[in-house]
Amino acid sequence: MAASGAQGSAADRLAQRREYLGSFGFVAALAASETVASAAQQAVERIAETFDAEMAAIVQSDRLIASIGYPAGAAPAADLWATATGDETAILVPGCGKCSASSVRLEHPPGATLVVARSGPAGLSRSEISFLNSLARVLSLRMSMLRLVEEERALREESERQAAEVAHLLEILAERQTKLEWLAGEQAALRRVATLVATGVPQDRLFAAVAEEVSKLAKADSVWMVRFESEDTVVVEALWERNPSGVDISSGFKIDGWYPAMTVQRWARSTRIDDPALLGGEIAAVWMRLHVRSAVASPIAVAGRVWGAVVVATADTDPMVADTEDRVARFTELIATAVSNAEASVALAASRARLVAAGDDVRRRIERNLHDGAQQRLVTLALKLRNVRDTVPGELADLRGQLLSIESGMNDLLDELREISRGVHPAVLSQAGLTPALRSVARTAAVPVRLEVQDVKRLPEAVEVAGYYVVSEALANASKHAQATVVDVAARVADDTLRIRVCDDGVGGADPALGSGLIGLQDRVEALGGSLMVASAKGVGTTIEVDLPIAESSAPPPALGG
Amino acid sequence: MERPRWFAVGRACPSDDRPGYRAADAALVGDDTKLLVVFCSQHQDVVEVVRQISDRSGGAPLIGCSTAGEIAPGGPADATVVVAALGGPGFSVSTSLAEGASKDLRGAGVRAAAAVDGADDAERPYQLLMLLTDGLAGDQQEILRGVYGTLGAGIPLVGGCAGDDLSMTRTFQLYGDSVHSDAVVAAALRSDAPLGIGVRHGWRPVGEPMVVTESAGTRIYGLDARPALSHYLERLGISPSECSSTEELAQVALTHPLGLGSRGEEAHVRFIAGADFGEQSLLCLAEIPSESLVWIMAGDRDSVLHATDAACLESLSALEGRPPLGMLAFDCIARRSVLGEQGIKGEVDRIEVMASGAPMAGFYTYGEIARKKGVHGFHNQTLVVLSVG
Repeated sequence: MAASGAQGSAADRLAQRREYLGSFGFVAALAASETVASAAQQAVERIAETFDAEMAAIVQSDRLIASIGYPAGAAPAADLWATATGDETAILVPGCGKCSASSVRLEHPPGATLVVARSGPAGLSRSEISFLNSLARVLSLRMSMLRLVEEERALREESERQAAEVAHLLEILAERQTKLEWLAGEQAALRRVATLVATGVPQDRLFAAVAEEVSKLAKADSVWMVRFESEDTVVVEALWERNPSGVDISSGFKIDGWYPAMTVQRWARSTRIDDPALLGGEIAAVWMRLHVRSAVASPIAVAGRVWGAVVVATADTDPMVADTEDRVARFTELIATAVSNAEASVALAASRARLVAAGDDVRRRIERNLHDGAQQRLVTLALKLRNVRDTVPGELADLRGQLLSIESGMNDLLDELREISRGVHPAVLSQAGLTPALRSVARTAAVPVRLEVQDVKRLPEAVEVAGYYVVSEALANASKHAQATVVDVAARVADDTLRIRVCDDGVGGADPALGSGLIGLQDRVEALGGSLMVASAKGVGTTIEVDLPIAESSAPPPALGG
Repeated sequence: MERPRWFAVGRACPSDDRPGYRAADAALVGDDTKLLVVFCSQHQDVVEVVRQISDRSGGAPLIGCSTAGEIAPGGPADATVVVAALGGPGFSVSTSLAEGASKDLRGAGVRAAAAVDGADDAERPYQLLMLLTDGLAGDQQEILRGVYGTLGAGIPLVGGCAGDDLSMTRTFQLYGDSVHSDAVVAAALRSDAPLGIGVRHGWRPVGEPMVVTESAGTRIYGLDARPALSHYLERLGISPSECSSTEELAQVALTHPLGLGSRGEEAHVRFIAGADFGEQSLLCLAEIPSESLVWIMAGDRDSVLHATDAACLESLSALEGRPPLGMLAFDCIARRSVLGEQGIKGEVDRIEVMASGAPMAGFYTYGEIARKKGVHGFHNQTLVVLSVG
């Protein structure tokens, strides 16, 4: 003892005072502990220091709660428990041999015991054990409190964990919902475009629609639908802009420097650019004005060649999302189909037109041959015959009668020939146009015709011929098949279109599919880009309506679809 | 014939060329070197000295530190390099380094204690852990708590806190061939023969104990619920006017440290390193827990020198009658101040006499480490002697 030589009672008083003071440090250490485990560890360390004991431990059955004095992880829990239950009164402490042990039951955790061992001949004194009991009560109280706090904390953490999990699930759900909505939006957009393709809307309308749909899905600021006109020129077929800039796209652009378009044209694959400073050529200035920051271009491949591209651009500082190429590609496939259809349609119409024109040429030649050849010769022969008849003496009345009969037969033949040649290709049509030709055919029709013609002047030959044959065929059908008593024919020009309507009061039931001459009419009309509509319900007569576009060129305007 | 175990000490003086080589050459006298313990003045090029020693030792485990003076045969000295080496088949050694001690004192102790796990032969009957710490890193008892919590009571502790010739700015710890600060280096030493530790300071408590009523770490604000400085001086019968400067307080504190009670041993001395005259607080070199009992200690040259003998005898008594192979001394810098230059020469002479011709080495420390029993192991104004049997 430091106060060596002091009286026993003085030493006791000193010890009491030290214990009293030691409890302050003990309480302070426990108060600073935030968990049961750290409070237990602090307690054994402080108790070892307070009693200058080499070992202190808390055991619960053979479970070690905390210890000091053994190498870390090497405390003998079973031996300590034997000491705690009183089965043993000494315990082996490393470096100290068997040490006298004192144990004090803790109120908390239930069944736990505090064991203290100190080297030297004697164990703790009675007063020291009393003091140890006091510390044990404080420790129990503190550990009990901390247990409640820990349980409350665990509960709160579990609650927070569950809340976080729910939030996470909701987040995933929201993400999937968004994705689903987006996919639904994409599908709807694709369906709308596919419908436009199927119904064969004009190309410019389709392209504009695609550009707008793509802009919504790609969240783009502008969408450029371009066609590679040549190796170095790009034509902008459609441009959609979030904020119309008035950029002039009418004359197209040189492709040089427009790297996304160049890459698509050269390599037939999607590409993107995230640094507009890399652009050059004409487009660089345009895109700079539009503040384009990044762009994605996808090819439109038609029949194995790169026909054009869809270029999606944004002014956003964030690059376009990663799958923009895939999104755009789904639309370019539809565009490719539409372009392919349109090109096939144009080719078909041109082929039909060539066939009709060739037929008309043949008819015109036959009519001219008849008019200039057989007809003229018959007229000449008839004149000669009349001259011969005039020279026949009166007494040869029989001969005159025979000649007159021959002459009459020749005139009939001539009329018949005229009639045939008019059916082949009426000369009046070529010479005077559609209106006189319609009057002529109405006049000679086998069924009474009420003809009404408005503002029909000279039209392109192909249109006049088609219009003439529509009316001729309709009138022939009305007399031959429909048993009509009257036919109304109306022809007028409106909106650069010749509109003809033939309406009879016959039996109806006409069907182009059944092989009437209507099929030929339909081919002829559609070869000119026009349309033919037949309404012929049984018992209510037949109505044929034809629209023929009046184009300067013989080729029909481009149209989409079949 | 090969000596089964050996211990040797080499010293290089300030004037020596290549002092690391010189000290190492003198210490490395045997085969199978197991450990080098180096005490090096900061007046030397510490990094170069360590390089030279490692160069000679062939990579043998090395721990060491900077000092406030070095001890070796021939007496105490400054600005020297002292190398103690031991080896032979009867020893097993492993070493460890724990850096960043000031940020986590207890953790540094735990990491330093890892040296014990690395000792290759746990079957040797005698063992201890030698610790050399940065005396400026903070509360050293907290480092020892980490060590004790890891090793338990089975491993005695010995060692000291590195010094820097009282400039109190930065100390070095040496590990292998590297030099560190704010670190703890440790060597687990196992031996076939006994290892004895002696701890004495020669101070005695005077008067009634006082209660530390307010403290934080190493600073005491209140004693017996009164301002610490004035109460301390009043107990000594010194009026405030007689002790109003740092220098005057240093003179008083040198011979009147504080003592903390400890079971069955000398009280642990806490050296008073300074004071704040404004807030009337005392600054100690180690933690003074609040609500602890302290005594004013008294001593003189004779009692301190007497303690030297007692510490040596205590350490030698553990050798079971064998002569020591060698001795290491961890001597508080404050004792040097009490004894004076002649006094410390006399002290080292006494240690040499006690060593009976065995080599001895040591250094003046900023705190001493010795734990044989109980849980407290940090000391001030104390001489700790390790006798290697």
